[in-house]
Amino acid sequence: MPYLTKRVGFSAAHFYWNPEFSEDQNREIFRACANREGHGHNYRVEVMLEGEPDPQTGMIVNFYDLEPVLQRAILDPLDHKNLNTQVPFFNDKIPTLENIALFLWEGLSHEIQTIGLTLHRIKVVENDDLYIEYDGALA
Amino acid sequence: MLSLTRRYSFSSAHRLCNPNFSEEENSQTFGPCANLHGHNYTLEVTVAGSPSPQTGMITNIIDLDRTVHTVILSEVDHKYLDQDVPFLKGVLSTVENVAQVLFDRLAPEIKAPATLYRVRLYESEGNWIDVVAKEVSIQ
Repeated sequence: MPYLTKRVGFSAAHFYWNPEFSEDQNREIFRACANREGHGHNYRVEVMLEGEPDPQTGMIVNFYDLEPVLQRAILDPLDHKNLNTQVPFFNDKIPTLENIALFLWEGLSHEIQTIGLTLHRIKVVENDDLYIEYDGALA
Repeated sequence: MLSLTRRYSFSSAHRLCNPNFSEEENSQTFGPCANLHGHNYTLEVTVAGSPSPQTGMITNIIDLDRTVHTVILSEVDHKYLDQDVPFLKGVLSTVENVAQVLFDRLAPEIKAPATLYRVRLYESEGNWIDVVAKEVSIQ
């Protein structure tokens, strides 16, 4: 079974803060990420799809069909946004890499189905030395 | 599975030399690797789990960095692996063997409920080893 991966980038601001923790607790646990003015990243998302190449086109997916899906599921909600204040999913969740991956999986798996494909795995890279991978299975 | 990967680097000297081989056998078997040389190793540590409802993180990166530094980096960085590192004594310092030793050393130190899923060790950009947990218990 072949897998196709498409990479998309988005730039966003966020900070880590739990309102149930004291200020000291937040600073102790989240360190520099607790700055409530926010900081930012150029995130990279790798979307891995499974599927068989169409015998007539040789493609698992036509990029002209895939790109609007990625636009709707990734860029529209997250690109150039303040994740803490402008993305309803994070109203009650801290926009950590982990929770960003869960958010993206929810949107992508729905959108990918509309073009007849299956989402296999996503990878969300915050910077060169930190990334998340998720295949949809969470205990 | 949801997993977080953090990347580290260390610079070390080593040589491939089986003490049971003659000098000629070592040279024939290991080629130039039988001579003392060094690498900028890259270590990727992947932990699996679920995001904590309180912090949104599988594991706190601050704790992970501290653990990896204490258990691995402080022992191997800028060292001669075959002579200076107690936990590599008697181990032929191929990337295969070093990766396995690092995995075994790190696995019990990862704070539950996160678990160590994979250690990936790059000896150079062109070759790396993955040591993957046989089972991952996600809590």
